[in-house]
Amino acid sequence: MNPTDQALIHAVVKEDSHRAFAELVKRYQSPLRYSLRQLTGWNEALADDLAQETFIKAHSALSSFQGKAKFSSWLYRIAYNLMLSHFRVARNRELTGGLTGREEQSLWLDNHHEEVVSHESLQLHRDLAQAMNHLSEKQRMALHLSLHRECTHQEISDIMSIPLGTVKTLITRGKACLRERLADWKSGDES
Amino acid sequence: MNRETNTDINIDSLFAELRNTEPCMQDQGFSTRIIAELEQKAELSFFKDALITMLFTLLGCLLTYAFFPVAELMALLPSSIHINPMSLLTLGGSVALACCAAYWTLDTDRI
Repeated sequence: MNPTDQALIHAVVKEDSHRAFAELVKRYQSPLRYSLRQLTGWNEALADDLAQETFIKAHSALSSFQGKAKFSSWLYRIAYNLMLSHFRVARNRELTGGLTGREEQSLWLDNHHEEVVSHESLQLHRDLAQAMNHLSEKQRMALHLSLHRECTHQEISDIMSIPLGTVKTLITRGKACLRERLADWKSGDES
Repeated sequence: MNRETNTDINIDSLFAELRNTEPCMQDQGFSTRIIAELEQKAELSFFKDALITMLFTLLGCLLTYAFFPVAELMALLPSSIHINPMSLLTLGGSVALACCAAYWTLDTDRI
């Protein structure tokens, strides 16, 4: 029988068991890496870096995890904060003349063109991630957690540390923006 | 995007489709890399801890050497000591009491 998350967390905190932490990483790496890909415009390298950083940060803060929320929600909270700080740094770099986020992404897409072509089945996921990339980070996160991860508004409010009302507004506006983006794509395809 | 889209596109059903077709990311050494990084960090912090302790010990020794009034304290020491039978008895009694206490502590395994 597989040990519960709580048992694994206990082993990590009390015995500093790396094996238990590796098991936690194995359990949650796939959904977290997928979510981060969705939130970074399907930038695989950046998403994996953020996921790795999330797990390392989670390891050092695991003793503060009280088990009130789901472990996955706690992970998403760390990942969200790391993502926000990454984009903040990227924006500052953009202001001081470095590569812009968009340039960085297009450079990455150029470098990984073969990989993009060879994974036809993932096209829908990539397309949506790139459409979502035009929304604000907060809208992206709220929309993803609500529609993809099916989190409740309360859970999203806890993960993002924002009031419930703001969550609802972010989701409504995010949906409207995404609809526009997808409509633009449609008209772009036709022309 | 070759998907049929229009202004009334159903975002919920689009996400439902994504949910159902979400790829399972293979670990492919991801967890191993994280554990390796954690181990490297742990080693680093051990050496950092040792280095900080050593530096502060050295600093403490230097400060003590520079500011501790060794000469003044030495001057306070008496140049001669007179021992009478009563002080010898007190010393002997204190040593005997300390031995008893140590034996009793070890015997009852209270350390």
